[in-house]
Amino acid sequence: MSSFDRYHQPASAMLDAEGRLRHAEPRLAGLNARAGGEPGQPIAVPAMAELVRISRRLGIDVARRILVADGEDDVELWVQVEPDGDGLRLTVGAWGLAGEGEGAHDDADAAELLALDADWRWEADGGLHLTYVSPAAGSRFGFDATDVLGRPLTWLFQLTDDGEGGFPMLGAMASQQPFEGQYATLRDTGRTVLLSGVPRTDAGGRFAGFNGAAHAVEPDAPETQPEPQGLPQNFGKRLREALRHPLDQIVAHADSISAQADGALLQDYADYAGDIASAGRHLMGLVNDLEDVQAVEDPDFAIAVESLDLADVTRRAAGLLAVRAERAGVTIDRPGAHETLAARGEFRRALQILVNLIGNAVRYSPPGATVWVRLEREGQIACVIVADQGKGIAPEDQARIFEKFERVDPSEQGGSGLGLYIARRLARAMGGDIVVDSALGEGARFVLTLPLEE
Amino acid sequence: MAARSTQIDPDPAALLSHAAARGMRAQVRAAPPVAVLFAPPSDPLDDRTRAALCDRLERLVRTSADRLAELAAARLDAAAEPALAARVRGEAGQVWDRLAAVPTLWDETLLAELLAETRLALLAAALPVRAPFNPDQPSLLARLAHSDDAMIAEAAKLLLLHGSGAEFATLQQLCWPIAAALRQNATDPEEIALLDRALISAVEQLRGQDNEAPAAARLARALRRDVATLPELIEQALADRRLELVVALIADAGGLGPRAVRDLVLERDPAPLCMLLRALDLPRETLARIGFALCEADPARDLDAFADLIDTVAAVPLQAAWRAVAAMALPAGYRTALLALGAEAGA
Repeated sequence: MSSFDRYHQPASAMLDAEGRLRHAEPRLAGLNARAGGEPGQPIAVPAMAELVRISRRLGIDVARRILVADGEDDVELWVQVEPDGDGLRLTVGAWGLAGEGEGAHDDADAAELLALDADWRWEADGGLHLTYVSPAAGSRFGFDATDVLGRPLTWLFQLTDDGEGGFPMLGAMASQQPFEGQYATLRDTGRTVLLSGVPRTDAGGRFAGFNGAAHAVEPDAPETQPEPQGLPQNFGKRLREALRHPLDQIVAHADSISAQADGALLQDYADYAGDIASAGRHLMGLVNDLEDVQAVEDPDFAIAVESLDLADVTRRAAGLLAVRAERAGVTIDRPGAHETLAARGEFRRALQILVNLIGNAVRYSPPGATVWVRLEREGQIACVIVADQGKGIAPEDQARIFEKFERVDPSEQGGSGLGLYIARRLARAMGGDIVVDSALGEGARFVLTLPLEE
Repeated sequence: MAARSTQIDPDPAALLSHAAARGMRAQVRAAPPVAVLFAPPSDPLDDRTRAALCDRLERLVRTSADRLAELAAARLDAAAEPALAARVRGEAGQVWDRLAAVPTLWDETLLAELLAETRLALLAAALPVRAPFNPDQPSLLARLAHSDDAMIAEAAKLLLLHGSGAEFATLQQLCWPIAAALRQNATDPEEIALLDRALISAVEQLRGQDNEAPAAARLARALRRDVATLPELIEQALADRRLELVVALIADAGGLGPRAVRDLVLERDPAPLCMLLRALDLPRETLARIGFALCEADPARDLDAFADLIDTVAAVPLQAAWRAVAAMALPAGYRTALLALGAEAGA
């Protein structure tokens, strides 16, 4: 999750190996100056200087919450110091007056209070996987308490909105405040529970999980009807609407900083801004995926089928991935400009599928490898074959990868586990399919099929 | 760099014998007399620890009483004594109050063990929270809970389920006091005979059931695969505040008993722990992270002393470091006796 406070971005400064200030962003420079410091000298704010000293001494990144007197105010900050190149980077965030912000020290107490009259307790980590469930809860509420451990929270709790599109738990993640009143349906049993929770935050201000409580609810209590399967009504759409604007802003600003549009910048800051933009895009991608899932699972989902040139779509998809492929040292061998393959489908969705397939191939290819994209015709079927030289997929995993939220290797970074699920559903909605042919150590070949256009 | 506020001499040779001696004493010191538990607040146990210890003890007694009562009742049912069986089940809820009223029943070893567990849990809860490096990824135990390796997955799930100390195996020393408490109100000689038979048999069964190693130790053993990943595992477990697992990983890597390692972690003097970590050839960064986390959790610890030590022990050859910690691998009774006789620590 983002380490940005909702209202203020963190400020950073670069220090030399001896902890003397090289340069700092304006807010931080101002705070330091008011404490009597200046560039070329050690940090003047005592608690920050102490953390700098510790980081230098130990040679690792360290973070703490500190209370700083700034003029007449007491300000609560989180501070992080980490070795960076030949110096140190100091990052400071969550500016606010003391007492305004969340007291991290009260997290545990708040969680205890919330759990006092709960039916059972649960905990989730920073990635929203369940790390604890009261053992008795399973037998009482009809699920296997041991089996759910380690799974995504949403695997057990299918969240329902509050009737106005709000999800208290999601709001809590963004604002780092406790939440209550989050209705959810328990998987497999359909029983409704009411969830509450207190977020854990680390000393760097980042979301680190929930300590939560669950209350049994009379079946007719919530007014909204939960979906029997899949995501709740309009969940994806509402999430996207809520996050679209702020994320667009983050990405736009970060892009412009990274491009040094307003004048030359230290390369560190430009790179940092590039990371922000990347993360923002990644997050937006996940949000789009969720919205897509919502769309394809809607019983009324339909695709406007038209004539399209699959060769053209394929070349465009390859083009969109050219930069990513180049960075990864992978070559995409795509159909020539003269090739055509008339098929029936929706252009936008076909492009989305191919970007997913080719993107996966690039991601799982070692540097120096080639990804081949070929067109074939078989009877009444048009095919696009995406072949890679990656590590391949074992037969027992080949069905799984098309399931929702499945990853063959859950420790692999990136992605939502939804790509192939969405892609296959889209393909089938267009009268086609996606199949895979692979073995461990022999790469993988994914084939998209669509009806041929006469 | 000059030594700071402790008396630790940065000279490696002196440090080695100091660490060995302290290491031996750490485990011996861990056992306070029974009286401490019920003593007035002016004693060394602070209120928070005392409350947590009493909580833990009560939960342990209640869970164990339920288990023993159920086993005995099952036998009574099988012996066609349903009334007695029901009575035994009913008595389980009274056991805690009865035992708490008689402090002399409490076994010192049991209390020492519980106190150490309590202190470890409190220390773990005070460790700095760290957000995941990659929020897409589940935390360490969440990931291991769905490992392809069935042993890893099972141990990880058990640790998640019980790791906060909610339930534990009945400690041997509690069995007889609980059985006695369950039988306390019986007066009729025939009933007493039946109850005794059922309770004694139940205790034997209970003792047989609890022979498995704790989940953390089993997980550490199952993960013992690649020495190269040990620093990563320790750092991730530390970041997730799973101190029990950190202890088990270190113990497993060093071939030491987890209790010995736990006592070193609880020990505020950093020398023995640093020496042990050095003996395991862990990277400097891992030592630094462990030191920082422990010092943040327990402000009474001296971070600068720890930092000084990290530098000093880095210069100690592995073999020498091992000799210094070898004393910790000795059986507890042998160690205690050696210390009492003033024998050489073996550095």
